[in-house]
Amino acid sequence: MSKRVRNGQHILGNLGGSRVDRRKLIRSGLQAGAALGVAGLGGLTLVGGPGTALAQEDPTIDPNAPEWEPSVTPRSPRKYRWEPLAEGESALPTGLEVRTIGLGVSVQDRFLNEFERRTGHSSSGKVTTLTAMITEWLAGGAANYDTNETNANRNQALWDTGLLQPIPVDQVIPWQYARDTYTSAEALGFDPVSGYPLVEVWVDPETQTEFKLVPQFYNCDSIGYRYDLTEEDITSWGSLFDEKYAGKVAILNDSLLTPGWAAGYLKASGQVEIARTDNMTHEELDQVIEYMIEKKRAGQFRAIWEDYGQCVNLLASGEVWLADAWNPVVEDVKKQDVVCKYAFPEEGFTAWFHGIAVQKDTPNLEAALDYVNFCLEGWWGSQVALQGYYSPTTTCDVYLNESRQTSEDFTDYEWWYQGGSSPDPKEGWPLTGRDTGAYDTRWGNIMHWMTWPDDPDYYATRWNDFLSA
Amino acid sequence: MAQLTDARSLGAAPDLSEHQRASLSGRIVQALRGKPGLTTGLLLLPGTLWMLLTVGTALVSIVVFSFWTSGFTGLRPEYTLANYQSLLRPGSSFWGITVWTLQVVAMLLIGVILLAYPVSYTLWRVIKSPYWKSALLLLFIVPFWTSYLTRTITWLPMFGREGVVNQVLMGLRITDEPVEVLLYSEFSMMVALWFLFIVFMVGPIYFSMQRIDEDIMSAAAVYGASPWKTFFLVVVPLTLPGLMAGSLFVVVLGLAEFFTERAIGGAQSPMLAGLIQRQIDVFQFAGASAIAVVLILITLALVGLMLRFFDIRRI
Repeated sequence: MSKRVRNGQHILGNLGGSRVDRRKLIRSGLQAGAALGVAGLGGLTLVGGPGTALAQEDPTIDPNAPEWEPSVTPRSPRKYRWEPLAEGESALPTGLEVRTIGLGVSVQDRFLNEFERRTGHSSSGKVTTLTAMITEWLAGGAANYDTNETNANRNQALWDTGLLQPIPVDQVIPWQYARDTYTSAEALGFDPVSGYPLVEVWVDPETQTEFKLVPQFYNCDSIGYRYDLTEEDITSWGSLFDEKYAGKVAILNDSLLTPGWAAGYLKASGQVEIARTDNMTHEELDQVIEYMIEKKRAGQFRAIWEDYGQCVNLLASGEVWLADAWNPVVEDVKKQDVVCKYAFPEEGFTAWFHGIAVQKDTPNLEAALDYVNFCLEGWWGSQVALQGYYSPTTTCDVYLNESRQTSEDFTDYEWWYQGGSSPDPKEGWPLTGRDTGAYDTRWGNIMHWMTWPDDPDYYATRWNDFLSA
Repeated sequence: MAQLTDARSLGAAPDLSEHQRASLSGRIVQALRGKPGLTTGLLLLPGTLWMLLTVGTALVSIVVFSFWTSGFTGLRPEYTLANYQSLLRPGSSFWGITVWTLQVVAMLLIGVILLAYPVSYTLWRVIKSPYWKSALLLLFIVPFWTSYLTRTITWLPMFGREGVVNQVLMGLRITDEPVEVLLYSEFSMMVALWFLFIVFMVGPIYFSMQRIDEDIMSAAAVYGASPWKTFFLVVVPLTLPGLMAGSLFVVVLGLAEFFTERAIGGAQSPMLAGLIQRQIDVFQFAGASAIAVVLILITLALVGLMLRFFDIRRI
């Protein structure tokens, strides 16, 4: 029977001609009829009805199949829809949809296409900015989405306004393979003062039974630099203020993040006493901003960068030699055959994580949870690993162990998680592994997590003072 | 129905037939007969309602929000003057940014006027062939069919270290190293702004010039006025309506400008509109609204000032 159904799937797949067409078919409402027809062909029964939004049964799924384990090889039958599916096959359309919103790094067609292929759910993704996303949800737009992929420090706004629903941990199957960063207060990088990251992951960090948002990907930020131009390795955030690089520096236009790392440098170098660099008092912030204004007036900064592509261009073109960049920026610059490295700052990295939150009244809960599971199953995590991001579960390890897309000498797991030739930060060029070293090396060197300060208004006001100085 | 479109003719509407009187439109015409004020009001009603709904609601909301309180989870209707007090306090960066915004708009306006007159004059007097006139005018306008963002970021490959201008300068041995002031500077921002806004000035001035009677130009020449004298004493005064129309566009749009400063100016010298976005970035919607209100007031004041010296009905 399964062969006939599979043939039916191919027929349906061919009907669309392309994935885009298939999406249109699904969205146009013809999908229900098409699904009924194919389901009838295979002798299936649809369950659920209008409004209940329950998926129909899938012949590739057997609820009694052995429990799922991370694997690159698709199995048959599968236990869950989000599990890998053999190449060339597509799941039957379910009639369910996931409408998600997030940044371009996580909401991508290639991810959503794979999600649709595996699960049979249709999907739509809106790419936007963090601020625009939260603003849209707060302004009443939440009902247009099922999931939200955002930075944890901003997700707090959605949680506090009751726009999200808690996600039971037992609904997120791959979570049994979670890294201790998100489960243990003893983990590398845990901040006992802010409670990050646990305080933003869990409804109750003690019991850890429900998520506020499920961690999706994370990283710690530092400095991208043109090693061919600096002719030395950058090892401190202070290099962004170093007169040697006056007029060769770009910094991010962000009233929270940029004063944060500047504070980390000033604190570590003993110039300013600061208790919490992620959440400064007015007096502390004043001193940081005054220092930055002084540097700005002396011509230290060539540009204040605004978005991802701009930072890539600034570094790739040599307009600037160093910038407080994001990891994928440096990887994109390298792809242009430019010698660019990511610094291992002695003051520590600034850490952050993005997660998926589920809208409180979503009519597509089943599909939304499938999406959460899909992102943690391993394949998704292995894709973003190549951009420099980490996956909160170890499920991507099996994929990365089998691929060598970054280097012929190392598997992608060895390169991105173990640091390649050694777990240490790499000196010079060419690289023999991840420039900033292994996972533990990086996460043992955290300055602070990106939290939400007590008085963001004051941060904004003082940042404007800096910009207009 | 034709009578309905001309309020002035209603007072002397022709006699209506029995059939026309019986129809709905006929009854409306009858009701409005001799009441031009009411007719005008009714004609203005749809547009007024639409503007009230779209523009009016937004404006009133911004004013109200500017007295509310910002919170991480959105605006709270707790009325306060704190947003204005914080903005307008002595020593606030707002003052410097306001002065800078006005400076930029002034430089923008002067620049586009100085550029637009020669361009318009050339199109009007120097180019004789109507074919070439149209072709050049079209060439001038075509870039403006693309997006505003595209036109702005075009200056990056033009002015960058490895950009066209630097390549030419180095190719001609005028400089040995790339000139960095060409990008991420106030100079590059102004060049980009002049380019972005010049079409708003060339169009109105050129069309004003076209309306100048050829006899007037001939008369000036016959009475011995030099070309320069003719230009300043005849052409410029007669093109004031176009100049004023263009200036209104440039001032109003220039005050709302923020992207060019960010993309080309290096984001180191924000203007008022840029401040609004930076407040929104950290969910300070009330503070952003207060800046918006002040920006609207500045815009209204400038436009009012311009209209005081020039009757807009001449345009």
